[in-house]
Amino acid sequence: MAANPWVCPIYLPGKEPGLEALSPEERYQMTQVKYWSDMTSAAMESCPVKTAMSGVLGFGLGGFFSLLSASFAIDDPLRRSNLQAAAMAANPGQAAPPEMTTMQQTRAYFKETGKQMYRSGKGFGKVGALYAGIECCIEGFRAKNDLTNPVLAGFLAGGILARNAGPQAIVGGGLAFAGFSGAIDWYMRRPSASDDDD
Amino acid sequence: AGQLDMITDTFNKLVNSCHAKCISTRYLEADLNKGESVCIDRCVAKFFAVNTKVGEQMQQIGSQRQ
Repeated sequence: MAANPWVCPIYLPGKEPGLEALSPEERYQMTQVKYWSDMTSAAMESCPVKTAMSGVLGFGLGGFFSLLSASFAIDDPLRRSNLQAAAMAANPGQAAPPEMTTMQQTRAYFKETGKQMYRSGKGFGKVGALYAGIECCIEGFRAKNDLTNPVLAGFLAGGILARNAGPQAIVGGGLAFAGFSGAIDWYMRRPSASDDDD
Repeated sequence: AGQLDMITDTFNKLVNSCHAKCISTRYLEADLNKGESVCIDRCVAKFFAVNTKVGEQMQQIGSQRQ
């Protein structure tokens, strides 16, 4: 076996190094563990799982941001009275609608916040899932991992998201999204600044 | 023993050429990412396809010569 010494050697199934101390049963368990961990990591890299994970994360992020912005919004103290006045003006002669108790008002407020969170989460989730799915497909097709994948995926995702707003908006939104995702991937790909050994 | 030598030789050549083609020199993590895995799948398939084709051609040439 005068082969290249720096390349992976081939070990016969029973004679892998490092496992001599284990009994055959433990060895079988190790192979099972390796099999399942390999399957899991392969599944994590697959396109549907990546799309789903990005969608879920986007949903969570959108809901979180919406919650933050809802907590910053100041509720107008005169809103209820204005609503009542408008209702009275719209239906002249009828009794004023009963004021809601504090408990009802709180519940209504939380329901509104929840709906807003859900809507915002759906939007973010769509964006995330779309972008991740397209990028995974492009990378699978090209079989290369470089910067043009996120840029192209960003362009397509931005274009699809702006599909109802006319050709200029499609191109502009696509370019903006492409630039944004390209910048983020460029930042993540920079060689980490590590001190050289002296 | 000769057979094992041949198989190991083929394996090493396969690993060398597909590594040179598919895996860039700059990388940030130890795991293969999706592009590299797909590239390696295709590389191995092409390697074996080329291997069999070249083998067939050489057999033809050999049988023609004799």
